Amino acid sequence: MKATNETREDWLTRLYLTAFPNVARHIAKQGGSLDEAKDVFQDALVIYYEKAVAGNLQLTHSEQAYLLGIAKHIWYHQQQKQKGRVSEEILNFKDIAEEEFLQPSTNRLLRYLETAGQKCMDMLQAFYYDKQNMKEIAERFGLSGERSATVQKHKCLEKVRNNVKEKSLTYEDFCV
Amino acid sequence: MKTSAFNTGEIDSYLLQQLPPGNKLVFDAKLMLCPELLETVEWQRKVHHLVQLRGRQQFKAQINAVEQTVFSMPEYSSFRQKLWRLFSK
Repeated sequence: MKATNETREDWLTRLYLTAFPNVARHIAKQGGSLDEAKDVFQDALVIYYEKAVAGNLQLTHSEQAYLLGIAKHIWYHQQQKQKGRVSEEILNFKDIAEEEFLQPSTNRLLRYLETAGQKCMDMLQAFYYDKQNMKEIAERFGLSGERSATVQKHKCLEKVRNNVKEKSLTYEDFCV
Repeated sequence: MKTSAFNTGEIDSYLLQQLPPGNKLVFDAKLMLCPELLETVEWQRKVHHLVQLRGRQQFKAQINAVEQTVFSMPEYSSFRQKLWRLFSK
């Protein structure tokens, strides 16, 4: 995605059109519904993206084949879980698939941070989640260069860290 | 803004497991000797976690938006028909 300068939205659209039909075919053969196929595909995209930007991915097959593999894995473990067979592998896997069930306190804290400094959160997210380098961050946020971006990122990190600490201590229920 | 007495960059390198082995040993020792540093490291770890969650939430929102588009816009009607056929058998 990065190598071709394709936007993330274009990349996602392309994968829906080229990879989702294979995933849906597999889920349909297994007796699943279209909605279940959509859910599985969404989780597969998250796993794929996070591995890709972290550089933990060496594709030996096409993106479509890789996504199908992840989707089959997710579907299989979901089915095992529904049958009450919880293995160690499933427990390791719940990180992505069950992330939506965040504690209310964490969501409140995230909402607070949004109002307290969206730009800082955007910058930290660009670095820690999207794994952009300092040059890319400098360009995206209109900073003069990598050095300036590094300084700004550290300032943001300190600011957010202080906010999190302050809010967590002020409102005990923020603590996770 | 109150600044921290500790080196935010060094804490980050520690959390991201990017400290060279020797520096990590020194940092581990500092953590044992300085409860305030340990506390700061834990708050910074929490920020990392929150930023990850925010990133994932926003990415999932973007995935949802794209899914809405391909399942509603006229230019993708043949794509939808192909899928519906799979589930109508």
